[in-house]
Amino acid sequence: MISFILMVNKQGQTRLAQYYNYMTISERATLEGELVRKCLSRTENQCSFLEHHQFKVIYRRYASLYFIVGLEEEDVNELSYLEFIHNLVETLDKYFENVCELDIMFNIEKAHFALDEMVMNGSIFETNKATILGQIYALDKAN
Amino acid sequence: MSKSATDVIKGLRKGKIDRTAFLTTVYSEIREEVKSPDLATKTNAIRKLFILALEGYDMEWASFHILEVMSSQKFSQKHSGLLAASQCFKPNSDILFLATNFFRRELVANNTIDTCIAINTLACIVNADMSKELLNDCVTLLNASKPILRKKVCVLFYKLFLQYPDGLVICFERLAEKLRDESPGVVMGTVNTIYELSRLNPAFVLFTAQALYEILNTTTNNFVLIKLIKLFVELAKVEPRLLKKLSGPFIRILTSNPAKSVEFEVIRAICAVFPESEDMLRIILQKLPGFLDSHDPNCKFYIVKYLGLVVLHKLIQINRDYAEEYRIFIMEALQSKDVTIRLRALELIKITTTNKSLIETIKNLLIEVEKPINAGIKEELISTCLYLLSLNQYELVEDFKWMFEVLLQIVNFKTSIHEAQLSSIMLDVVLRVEELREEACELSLNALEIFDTLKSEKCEALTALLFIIGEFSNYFSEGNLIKALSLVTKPRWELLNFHESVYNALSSCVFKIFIRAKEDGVFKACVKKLEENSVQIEHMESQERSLLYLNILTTSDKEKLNFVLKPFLPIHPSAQSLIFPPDALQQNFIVNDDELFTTKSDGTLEYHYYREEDFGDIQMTDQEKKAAKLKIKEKQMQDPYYIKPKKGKKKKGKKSKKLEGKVEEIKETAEVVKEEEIKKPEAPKKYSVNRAEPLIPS
Repeated sequence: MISFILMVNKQGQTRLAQYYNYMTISERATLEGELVRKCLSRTENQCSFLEHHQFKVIYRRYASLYFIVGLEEEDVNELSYLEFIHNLVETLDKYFENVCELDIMFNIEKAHFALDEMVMNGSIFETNKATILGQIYALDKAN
Repeated sequence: MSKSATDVIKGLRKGKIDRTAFLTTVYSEIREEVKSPDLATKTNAIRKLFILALEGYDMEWASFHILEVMSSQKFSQKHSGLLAASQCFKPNSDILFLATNFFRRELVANNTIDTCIAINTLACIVNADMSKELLNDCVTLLNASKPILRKKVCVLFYKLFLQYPDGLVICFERLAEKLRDESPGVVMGTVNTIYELSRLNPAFVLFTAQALYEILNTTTNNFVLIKLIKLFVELAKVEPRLLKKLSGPFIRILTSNPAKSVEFEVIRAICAVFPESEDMLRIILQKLPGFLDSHDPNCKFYIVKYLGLVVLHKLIQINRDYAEEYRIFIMEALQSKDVTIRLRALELIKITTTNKSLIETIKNLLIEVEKPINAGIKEELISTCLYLLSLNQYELVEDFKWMFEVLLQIVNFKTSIHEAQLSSIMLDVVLRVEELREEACELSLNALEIFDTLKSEKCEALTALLFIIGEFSNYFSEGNLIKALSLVTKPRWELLNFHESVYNALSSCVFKIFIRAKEDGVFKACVKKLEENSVQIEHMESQERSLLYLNILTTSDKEKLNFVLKPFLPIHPSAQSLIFPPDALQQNFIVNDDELFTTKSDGTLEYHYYREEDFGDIQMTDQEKKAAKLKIKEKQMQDPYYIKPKKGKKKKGKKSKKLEGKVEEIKETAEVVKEEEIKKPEAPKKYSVNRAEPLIPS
């Protein structure tokens, strides 16, 4: 079960934060800051898995944005979460056409919605890009 | 003109403005705006507040306003409200009561997209009461015509069950039916829920095994496959008969599926569930080099290497023979540039070292400790060294002199958390291994020459070394004895203000050395030192001891003090049984000669004070016994120190009020400590970022 999914940029500004276990605002701010610092200090050639307090953290950098997934379990299949992150980015890419950080900043609600279509309760329940995109288009129509 | 959310973002991006000032202005504007009766303005305020939440501003005070926005008829307003709600409604807040009706309306609404966003938010905030109320509506949704809704509600069920477990029993069968749904999305959602439930109670979901097995054999979705493999591992723990059926599919998946993540999951499952199976292990061993040496461009080298190490760890736990083949590989991994891999390698070293490889392993570990790159994991490295040395009572060590030298080397690294363990190992090993004592004394003496550098918080290492040279001073040659004496009588000891235990050890060391040497010159030096100690050292206990030893030395007959020279020896655990109890400790000692209590027919306890059997060998008639009992009873009643057990039913779970008060105290202080500790993290380095750069380069 995923505990949180974050999109944080290199300067430590959070662009999107979804927590699946309740944490107070100050805890969240500390967590996000510490994680981005840890990610920044690692090079390209090192593996994308970290341990931070009781969390197992999987991250990947896309241009200026770090996509971070944190879990509180034993026996995590880290590679599958890397694939999930890539799936998420590809979905956003297809919708926004060459997505960049600005797109996420100005369309935060849509980004949240896309994420909610893929993950609920900390479980990944949909990976089919076509289905997810269909939902986002339906959202656009309703607006 | 009030700003829109987009304006806020643009405002934050402008280079030269003061962020905090800007944000504060926006925040105060929002506080005004949100009270407006016009829904559009309110929604605008909520949207801006949402952006501020990402900067760390609290949203909770606006809960009621958010609820109003949520209830709007207009879709975009509803969407903004629900999104804000999912971020800020606390799990136990009162606002949720008010929201329940709203959600109930949404769940039965005809509009798919409305229900979707409602479910999204519900999954984040639902609590026990809401869960109970909304359960029936969710069950109805299970049969909705749109697969999207069915899928979402299946996943939602897990959260509902967590909050309201009684609902589980009622609805679970309906949920399990969805495993055979035509839409693959719904199936995936159901599998997810069942997996999470199986981690809590595998027996409960066991009846779905048949359907799950079919999905295992037919699905092409890797995520579903991984979840199912994990699920079956949970189920196999309670139903061993499943194992036979699982071996086929596992082998098929392992050999045919190209995805490394799935391979990894199957290997992990096999290690957990089929630890003895030879064919399985053979296949895994074929796959293992694929992980360890991979140059696969899709997965970066180091990522895969990390996983290979995890798998290796599991395999070696199963069968130690594999350790030999991979030793060199593990040593290389220890020198990898990636700290995560180094930590994994340490774990492997702990389980693969044998007595032949111990010396080389420790040598490598100590070299690693000195490298600056390992500053972060210095403590783990030293812990591993100590663990290996003391494993199973030094099973791996063949040369104890070498081991002692290693321990002294570690002392010089000055890691304070290991000192206690280190000193206890040193003492233990010198006590137990007789051949070591002479060399240990000499080595300790050399180490003590630089005693001023060994100062630490509790100085355990120093105390241990002093003990060794004092206790085993009879192994010293004459020359060394003089050397030892001059070392411990140096005036520098008092000047350096060590921990109390060091001065205690020092005085007894001086004392023992004298007993060993017995010459007049030595005697005078010892007396002088003890006199100094008794005056100059601050600690009262140390002064007392010095005076005590001084007294013994100056007043008693030196021949009688020879007993001090007898060495400490370890005692075998079964030694106690070889000692017979003295006659004074009678076997049939009457403490209480009756049943302590009996349970009456209505369940209460009746306390007595005496036991029949204890009258034992003494020949008495019943009358005499009764009289004797009464006599003893009277005596006990009058004895003020006799603790009488309380009569009557024992109530379980009754805490004393005092304890409850203390628990409250501790809870409060714990929170206070936590708040103090959360400091603001330092801002990361400034990087120039191009926010318009596409995330996936074309």
